[in-house]
Amino acid sequence: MKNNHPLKTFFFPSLTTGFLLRLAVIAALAVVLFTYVLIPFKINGQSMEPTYQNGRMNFCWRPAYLFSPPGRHDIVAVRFAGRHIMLLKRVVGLEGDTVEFRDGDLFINREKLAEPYVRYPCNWNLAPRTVKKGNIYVVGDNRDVPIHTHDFGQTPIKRVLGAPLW
Amino acid sequence: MVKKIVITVIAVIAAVAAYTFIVETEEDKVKKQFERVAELAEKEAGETNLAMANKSRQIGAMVTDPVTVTIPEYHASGSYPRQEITRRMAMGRTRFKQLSLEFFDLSVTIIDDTSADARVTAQVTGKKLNNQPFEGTHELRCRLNKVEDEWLFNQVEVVDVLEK
Repeated sequence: MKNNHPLKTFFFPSLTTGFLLRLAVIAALAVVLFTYVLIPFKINGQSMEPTYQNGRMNFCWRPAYLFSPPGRHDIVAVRFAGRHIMLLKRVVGLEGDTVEFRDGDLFINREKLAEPYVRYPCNWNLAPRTVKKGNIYVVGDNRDVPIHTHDFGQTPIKRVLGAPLW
Repeated sequence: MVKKIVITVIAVIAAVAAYTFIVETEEDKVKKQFERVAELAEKEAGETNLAMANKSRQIGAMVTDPVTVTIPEYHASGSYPRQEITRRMAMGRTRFKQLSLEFFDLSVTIIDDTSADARVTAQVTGKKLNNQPFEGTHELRCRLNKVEDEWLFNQVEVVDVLEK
């Protein structure tokens, strides 16, 4: 006797040509989506704490800056040679800005920048420097580490892969 | 007729796959050099001095004599003889209990018969002598020269992704 229970049909469908075709299309779309549009990544490190915790999963939304460049306070994914390893950082300076740290406070164009996302103490000092044309200045939210151990600085906008989905 | 078309398509796909698998292109040879560097850089706890010297010598043999190394973060740039590379490799290894090197997103451009450019992300992880974990990620730009049928590293530059 043939059992046509909907659940069984859902989980164990007949391998018809139509089903295999649909499966192939869905697989192809998933590959394209998760390779070029929404790149899954795992956070490895504490540089963006407490905003992003070490070990959490997220997705890099590639179209985020398709029509406009990243703005101040945005969180962006900066690529190395490719898409497999990225740096998750916050944009604090835009092209032409002067960036400076004084006793842990961040100054942009000689004015102190309000940064409610920085929750941990910071004592960094960094002489003023200008963000070059076509670049942005990025820093992590966790500055409770010696300045020389934290990866931050200016990078070309073309290195920005996208923004975290959440 | 349909059967013949299907068989032909399968045969063509199989032939292309076999060709890709069997024939080693120059790009494949360059990629293999990176795999070899990663293998040689690996260090397990308790590595003997002999093994360390052997691996360092083998890495030294993979660079041209001299080789140019540029590290903007440390304002270091220079041309080093092969022996110096071997010596520095051995010295560097002694600072770590464990080491592992992985390459990601390797792209190779063959310029001509004797030179190739490569871009890659290199990730070093390991443990220092005091058991502190260590991790470093850098983008590298390399030039390799073909010498006596072997691709040797001629220039290695660490790209400053974030410039403080």
